Amino acid sequence: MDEKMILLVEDNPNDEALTLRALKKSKIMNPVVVVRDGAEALDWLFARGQHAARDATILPQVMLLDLKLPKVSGIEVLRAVREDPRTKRLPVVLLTSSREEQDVIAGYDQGANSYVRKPVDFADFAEAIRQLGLYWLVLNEAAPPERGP
Amino acid sequence: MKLMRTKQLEPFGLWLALAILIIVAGFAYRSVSAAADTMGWVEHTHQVLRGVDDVSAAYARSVSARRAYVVAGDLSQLADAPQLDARLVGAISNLRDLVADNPDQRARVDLYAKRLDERVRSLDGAVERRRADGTGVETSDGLALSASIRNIREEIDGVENRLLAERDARTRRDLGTTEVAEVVGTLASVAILLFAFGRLRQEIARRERTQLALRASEGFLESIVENIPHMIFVKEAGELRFERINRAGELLLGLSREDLLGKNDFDFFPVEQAKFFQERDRETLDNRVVVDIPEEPIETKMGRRWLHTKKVPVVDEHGAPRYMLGISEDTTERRAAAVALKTATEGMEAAIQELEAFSYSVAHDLRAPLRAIDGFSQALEEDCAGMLDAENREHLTRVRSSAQHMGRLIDGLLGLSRLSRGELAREKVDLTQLARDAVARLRESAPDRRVDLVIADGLEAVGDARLLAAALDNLIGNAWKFTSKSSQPRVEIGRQTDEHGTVFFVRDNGAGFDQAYAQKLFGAFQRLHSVTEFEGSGIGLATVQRIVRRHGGRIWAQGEVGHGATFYFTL
Repeated sequence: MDEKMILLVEDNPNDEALTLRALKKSKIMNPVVVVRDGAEALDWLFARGQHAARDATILPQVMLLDLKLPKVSGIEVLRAVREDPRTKRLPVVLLTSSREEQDVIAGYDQGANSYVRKPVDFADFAEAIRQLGLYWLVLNEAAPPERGP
Repeated sequence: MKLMRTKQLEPFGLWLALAILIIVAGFAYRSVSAAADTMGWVEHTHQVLRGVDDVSAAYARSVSARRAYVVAGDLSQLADAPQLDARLVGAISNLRDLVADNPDQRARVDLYAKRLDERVRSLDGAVERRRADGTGVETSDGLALSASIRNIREEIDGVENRLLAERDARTRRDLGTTEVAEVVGTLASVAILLFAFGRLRQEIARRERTQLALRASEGFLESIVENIPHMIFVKEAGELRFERINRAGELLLGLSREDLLGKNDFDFFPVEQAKFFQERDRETLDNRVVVDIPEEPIETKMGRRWLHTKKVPVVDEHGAPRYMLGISEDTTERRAAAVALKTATEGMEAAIQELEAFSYSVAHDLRAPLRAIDGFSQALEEDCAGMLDAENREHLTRVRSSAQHMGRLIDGLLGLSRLSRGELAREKVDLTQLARDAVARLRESAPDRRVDLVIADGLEAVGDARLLAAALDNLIGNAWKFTSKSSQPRVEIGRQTDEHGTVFFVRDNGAGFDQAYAQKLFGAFQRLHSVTEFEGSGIGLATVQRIVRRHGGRIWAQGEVGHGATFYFTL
């Protein structure tokens, strides 16, 4: 699995479909793994629960993380990711429809690499996704995966 | 009542009067005793004159007893001659004693006595001659003697009479001087006494006035203390017994001063409370400090009251505490009001938080479906372009623009609610620069528009730069928008001074508005123009008003349809 994977954490099927469409429109052909809530995102990343069979050493190139999620919120997912030595350098982009300042501050406090507000205008949204994909998948040099002891 | 220390009366006048009276009395005593002396001498002179008379009378009898025989041969009287002679000798001896003090007079008296004796001897000779020869004739010598005796006697009398006159005159002089001295001294004393009496009356009147004033001032202070609507009470420093309490205190405690005075807190209040009160009293008195007790519960006959009490030490001239003065304000009602206010505020804060949570949901949850509506409409547009006719595409465009408009409405609403939160920064803000920035953004968004923009220099205010920038963005954005159909659009940002102080304004010559609706301009979602005419969310001026009010300012507008609008605001 050499391909640079994208992990999309999104509970809203509409937003999921639009995000996938925007990626496709932007000619970003990388495989996208979609999980529906924060708990599943962590299970997937750390290969446990329903994703126990997965190879935990394989990490996505970037995680697109919705802030408002059922069960475990985006901020809590981000905190867990940053606390774990395996994922602490994983690029995380917060995706949300809220422009509330406390979200921005909390997001950066927990070590989000970027913060993008989902615009209502799909054209804007598609452009935001395109730029994200371009930056995180093409330009950004990911940190080498952390090896366990 | 403590008497004021009496001022020493000026005693000078009285002492002077007393001194003059003593001098006058001394003087009078001296002159009276001098007069008495002189009068003694006058009496003495009279005695001498009487002595002379006695001698003269005795002599005359001795002479006539002899002459009766010599001239008429009468023997009856001659037998008495020795007895009469003895009386004459006694009278002469008496006279000699009387003039013993005066040698000249003594000499005369001696001569007088000698001549008398010679005359008597001469008559004795005549008596012998009659007996012998019956020729009872006195010699011429005897007659000459008689004349000499008369002369001497007159001389003695003359001297004594002269002395008498002198002594009389001296007595009169002495008594006259005494009289004058007494009259002058008495008059002077009377004058001084009258003056002193006048001064005394003045002093008494002055003191009466002072006392009246003192009483009036005590009455004044008394009525002030009585009428102060806070409880005022005084306790003595020893056993903390009540010394004074005013009317407000009686009403508050439901106790009369007769009940209170002379007793202490333990006589009226629960033990714990009395202990608390007295501890504070001691703290005040021991440390000589004012003790402030903002919330002090007290059990009264009307139930529990809350007081704000200040306790003040009152010290004597040596700095030792004498009294504890207390002033208590009944804050029961205010406290209840504060509690009610706090409850209401908490309720309001809870409501605001709820509202914020609601706004947050609105932001997140309403935007997501809009995104889907817009996104999938666009997908349809792109994917089915060939299958849709112009009308179908127009419908899709309307769906998308509606969704986008609603997105902007939600953003505006959230922005407005965000303005109510957070601290308001207070710093010097350059409004001129903020206006220039706003204009620059507008020019960037519509590079083809030509608007005549006038921004006054040096517009400065104190406030929150971020919020003021948002307000100016809105006002200038409005002016920019509503002049879009003007032939020569002009926007002016400036400042003027009137009765409101410094007033900033944003003026345009655009579409304007009907002044009758001026108040509606500032309500959220209130619009005076249709969306097709001028697009907008209807939230901008509500936002501006919120910002201005948060700065403690005021905003109002003047306009006329077709002749532009001016928005004024103070900060």
